Amino acid sequence: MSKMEIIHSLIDDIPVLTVSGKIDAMTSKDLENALAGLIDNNGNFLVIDMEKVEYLSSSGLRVLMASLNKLKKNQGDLLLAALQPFVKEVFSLTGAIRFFSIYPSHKEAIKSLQR
Amino acid sequence: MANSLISDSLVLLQAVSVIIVAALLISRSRQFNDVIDGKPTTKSQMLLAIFFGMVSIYGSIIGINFLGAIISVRDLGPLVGGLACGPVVGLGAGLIGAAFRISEGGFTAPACSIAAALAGIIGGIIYRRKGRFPGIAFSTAFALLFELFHMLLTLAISQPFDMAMDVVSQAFGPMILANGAGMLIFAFIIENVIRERETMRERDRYQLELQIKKAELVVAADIQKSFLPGKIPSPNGFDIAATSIPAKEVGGDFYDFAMQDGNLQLVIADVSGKGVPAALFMALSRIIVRACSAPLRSGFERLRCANKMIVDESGSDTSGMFVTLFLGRLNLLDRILVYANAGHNPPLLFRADLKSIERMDVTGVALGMMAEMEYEQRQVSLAPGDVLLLYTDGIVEAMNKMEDLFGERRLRSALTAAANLSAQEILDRILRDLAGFAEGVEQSDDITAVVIKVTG
Repeated sequence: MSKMEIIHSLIDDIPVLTVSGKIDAMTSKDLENALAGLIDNNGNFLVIDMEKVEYLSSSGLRVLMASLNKLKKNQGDLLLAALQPFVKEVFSLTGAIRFFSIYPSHKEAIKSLQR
Repeated sequence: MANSLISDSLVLLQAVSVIIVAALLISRSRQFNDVIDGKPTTKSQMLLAIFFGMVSIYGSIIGINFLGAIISVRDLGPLVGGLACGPVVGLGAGLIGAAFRISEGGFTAPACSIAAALAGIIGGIIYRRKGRFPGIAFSTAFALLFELFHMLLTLAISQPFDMAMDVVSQAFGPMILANGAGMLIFAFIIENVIRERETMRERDRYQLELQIKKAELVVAADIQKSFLPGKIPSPNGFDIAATSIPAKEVGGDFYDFAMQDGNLQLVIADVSGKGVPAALFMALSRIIVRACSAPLRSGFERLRCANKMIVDESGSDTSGMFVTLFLGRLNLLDRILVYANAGHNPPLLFRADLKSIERMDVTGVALGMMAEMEYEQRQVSLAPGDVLLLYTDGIVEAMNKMEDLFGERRLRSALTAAANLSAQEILDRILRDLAGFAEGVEQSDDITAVVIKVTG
């Protein structure tokens, strides 16, 4: 069945979620919980490394949009890194790509925050 | 002495075994279950009192006569009756046991009959206090203590004292052992029945809830179906077919047609997610798009209006919900289609002359993501034989067992292969290819498609 894994880490004090697998209607709830926990507990900036995300459904995109909006309200941001072509296509098709800061890797995402 | 302790105990344990079998049977009875469910009728209480009274009598009969006293498990019936079924059953069983004991006579008859009656009464009082059977450990400890009390009572009121002392020293071990063991096993059986009934009640409650939810969903699904056009329009020169199959009872896809001043307005849309949340959002979006479709508005104006209203009214800011939507206005005379696409899977346009497929690309952001978005509109001119296919991502993102996606490539092949057929046949072909690809893998997202073929 569709599986997704989330690894939490803290790189230079910035929370990084490394997500792998498929973000679909089932798994997006887990992602939503993981993000909700981080947004409540931590600072205003979050990085999601999506290098190993092979599929993103509209349910998954909804979760990312909701988290982005929440962070932006606190003058924060949700940075996405290393989108695979299929995932990137979902962002560009729906137009969501305009609202997210997208980086080639989580390292570069973090670097942009330190500037 | 040691020998008789063992043999007496064995006799009593044999009696207990018989009682246990009877208990197993009675624990399955409707009367007992009435009591466990907390709604005993007078009749079931009387029947249970008689049953536990008989158990007490059986205990007396099978008991060992020793110097005119009876070493027995007489108290067990009233004890269990009281502890498991309450004061009425306890008292009834105790009195029956006591009456029988008196009829047997002997110098310990007063003490033993009082004990039998008290076993039922005290057991019943404990039940009343706790509001339920007090559990295995408590009941067993109580039975042991009660037998100790029974012995002390015998010593206190039986005459002559020396004989009473002899009887008690002989009866003490076997009676404590057998009544304690009997109660332990009884309590196990009763706890099991109680737990079983609780599980059943919970299951029944859960099933009832589920049935209600299902019934509600059926109603919701009917309401949602009524949102879809009841009749597919069939304007001159065009052949149209459409279908929408939600993954669950209700879904987030919709399509809409409206004839307006020689134009066919058409909409296909897909709300993020699926199920009830998507269905609610779909209902709202559909109404908003309709409200924004005043005759004079152009496609981009309608999308801008709908986007703003959805952002303002739906709380999409917090929920992250959005809807991808394609809308077109097809002039039925000159066959010019003006369209705007808010983040929706680009519809495919099969060109009959070139046998090739064009995509009707996105011209703006999905609705509900952000207020104040701008939308472009474009137009294409259709020719006889051309086929326009509008669809939602449930088709291209359908998965097979290998978790491959159906994809746009397979959809294009199906469209090309069937393009010379009727609109309905093209739709059927696409759905058939999709089913063949999925090989029975459960549909994971709502599937919607609209086929418009230019016939002449």
